[in-house]
Amino acid sequence: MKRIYSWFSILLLIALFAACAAPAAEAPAAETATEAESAAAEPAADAGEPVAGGTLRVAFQNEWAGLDPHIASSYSTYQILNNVLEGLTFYDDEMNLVPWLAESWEQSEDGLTWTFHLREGVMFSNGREMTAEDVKWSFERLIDPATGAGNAPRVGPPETEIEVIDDYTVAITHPEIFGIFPQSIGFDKSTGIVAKESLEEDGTINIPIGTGPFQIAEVEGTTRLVLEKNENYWQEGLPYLDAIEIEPIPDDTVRETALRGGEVDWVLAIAPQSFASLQEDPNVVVATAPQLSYDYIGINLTREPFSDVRVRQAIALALDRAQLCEAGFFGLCETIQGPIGTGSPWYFDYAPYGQDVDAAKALLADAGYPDGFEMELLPTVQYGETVRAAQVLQQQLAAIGITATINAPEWSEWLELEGNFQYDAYICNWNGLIDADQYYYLQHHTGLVFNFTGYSNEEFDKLVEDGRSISDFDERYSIYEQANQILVDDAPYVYMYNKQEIRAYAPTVHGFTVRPDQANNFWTVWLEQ
Amino acid sequence: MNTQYIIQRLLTTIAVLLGVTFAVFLIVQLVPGDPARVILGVQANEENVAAIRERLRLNRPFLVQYGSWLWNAAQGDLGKSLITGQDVTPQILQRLPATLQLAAVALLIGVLIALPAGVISALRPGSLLDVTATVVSQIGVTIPDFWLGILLVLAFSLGLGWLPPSGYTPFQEDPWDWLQHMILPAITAGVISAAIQTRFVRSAILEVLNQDYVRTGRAKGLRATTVVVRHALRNALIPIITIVGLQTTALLSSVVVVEVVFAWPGLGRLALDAVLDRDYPLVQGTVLTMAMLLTLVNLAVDLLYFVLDPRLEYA
Repeated sequence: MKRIYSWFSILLLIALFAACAAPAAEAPAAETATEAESAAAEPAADAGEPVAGGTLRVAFQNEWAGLDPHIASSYSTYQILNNVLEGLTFYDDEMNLVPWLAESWEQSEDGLTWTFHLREGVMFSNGREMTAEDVKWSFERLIDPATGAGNAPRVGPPETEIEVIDDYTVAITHPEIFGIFPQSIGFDKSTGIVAKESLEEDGTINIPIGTGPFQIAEVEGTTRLVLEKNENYWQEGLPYLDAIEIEPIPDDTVRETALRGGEVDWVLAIAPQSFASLQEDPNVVVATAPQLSYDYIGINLTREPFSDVRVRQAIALALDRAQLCEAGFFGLCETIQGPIGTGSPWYFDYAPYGQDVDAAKALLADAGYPDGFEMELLPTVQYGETVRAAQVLQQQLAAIGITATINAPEWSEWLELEGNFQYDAYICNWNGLIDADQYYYLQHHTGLVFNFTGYSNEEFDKLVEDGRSISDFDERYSIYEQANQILVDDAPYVYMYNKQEIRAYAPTVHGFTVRPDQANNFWTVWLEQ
Repeated sequence: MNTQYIIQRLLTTIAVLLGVTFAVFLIVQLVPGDPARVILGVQANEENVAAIRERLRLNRPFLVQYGSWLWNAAQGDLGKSLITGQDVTPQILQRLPATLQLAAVALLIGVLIALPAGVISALRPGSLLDVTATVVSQIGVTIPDFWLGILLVLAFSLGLGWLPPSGYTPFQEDPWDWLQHMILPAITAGVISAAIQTRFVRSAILEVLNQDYVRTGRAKGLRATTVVVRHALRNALIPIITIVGLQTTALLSSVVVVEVVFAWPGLGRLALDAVLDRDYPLVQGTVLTMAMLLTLVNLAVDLLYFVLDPRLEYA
């Protein structure tokens, strides 16, 4: 009996390991975005005339943490709000700033006041017309300190004055010249125009009412949300879809299976390791675009030894960014040494940190750490790629004598540590940035809201303040070029790579464009019936 | 069964619920993490966090917050979610059926597999059947549920295309669709439960079969079936009910993993999300509900003992 027992156990164990190995055998060959040969359907260039009607079934990865446009920050929230709220200006699919709810605008002689002329006949989804009063209400709630909005500076400081000139004219006056105000408000849904009827008694907004192509019709906690067509939408003939059903499916495998099996039509997050196998699936369309974002290491300048710039530069020199890109995002990325990638008109060709282990060690020795030191890396399980990158980073730092441990908490704990300077170096990413100001100002200017590293450089501050007070591209380009050099040299952030934006959806879905700023706009999408 | 017993049970239950909700409230407040920061994400500085905490009334002393929650809960008001602003009670009521159904079907699968397997195993100890059942249940006990779940999805959903990989359809809407969505998650949870139960059923029956009265029965010449069913099984039911009861409570809490894998809109997943978001009212509400559920299950099991075992009395 004992022998039978042992036999059985061995056989079953072998079967178990074989079963484990099978899914892993699908590990993708490192496919860079340029080798996009696949059996998968390409986004159809000409699929015929758009057809109205139908419900798009969408799967997100994460739940939306609140829907208040002025304070919510989760990516899922933004993707919903993109289709519900609109701003005065808008970045089109080619990242050009175009008029949207405002038809035109001009700056005053002294530069302090921007006057916007609103489009007439734009209706909120509740049937009421949008007027200058609504612009005033939305902006004022955003910049009110009691609201606690991190994005308030996109409109301006609390002293900003918003004046209703008439029903369709509104003037915004800033205490200092805000030369790129139209760009600033085109970028983000926190600057969208919200109807004041959205406000609950206790001052929160749970279901925002906007002028966008869709309205929020049903919300079941954070497991299901239905957007319905805004019958009063100002763009004729749009949207094509009747409704969009959104459900989060946290597990990557299950979410992709849902797409491949036809349970859903469109999926928000694709695990990079699935890119190759999805491309080979004829039931799935895979589309990519270079992302305007960066993955980076944020260093705590308020702590020794990181307050010494030589230590930070040593870390920057130790990196093999190609290897980090391979590990973090399976090769679907571009390595970068500054915040702005080659896809942006703001790209600066300044790359002083080619990997040089000897130079790194020399810098550490200069700074007084010839034998290196110990530190802790803080990625988060919320973004799997940061954990993968951390593991490779650990080895790369060991090569210059730095012994790094990894602490990868879940999101809310990570936020607590990162927000309170309780870390050595954290790993994260910034997404959806378009104008140069968005890469530099709020993150690195002394004491501003997104400055999590404690970085402070007067010369840099002056440059980025100037940069946002002027409107001419060439002038601004040379200002930001200088600012970029200072920032990259000072290395409060060490930049790693810029990920590809990947979307996957069913072949029956048409009219969807993958945007470099990661926005997902559904008003031009139509379904084959 | 008299009034004193009932009152005793009621008081114990209230004490347990108070203790559980207090402990959970304390722990979730003490661990790092702040709902204001969860809302704001990285777009947070001292002022913004303070402003939102003020608006969500999180700066009140701990005991005041707990007391206020308790006072309202006693009147049926479980408050609002800090993150979404939606009322807690309707959310819980809406998500409860999905979990109950999943746990019930998983339990059923577990029992339907474990009872026959355990009995046969016990009746023929050492046989091939027994060894197989033991080894399979050994594996089942150690398999992680999320691994099994994903494996089933890959096999039956992606591979064969027989079943949907995720989601839930209410029974009233479409019973056939409900069943299709239920099968994979229920098998995932149920098979593992079956593995655990099989071992206990087997040892419970073996224990009873070794008793004097069973040998007496056999010696008397009673048919094997009579011995097993009328005598052994009934007596083994006590420990078996115990394990089924324990498994029910275990399932009700462990389905959270299965719920996450299959995007099942149940209470477990709601509780998990609430904890991750530090959404205190939602955490309290879901914990209270689960504690009440588990108390009910335990009560049912205790009452069943009373029915099954005439020797027992509740003085």
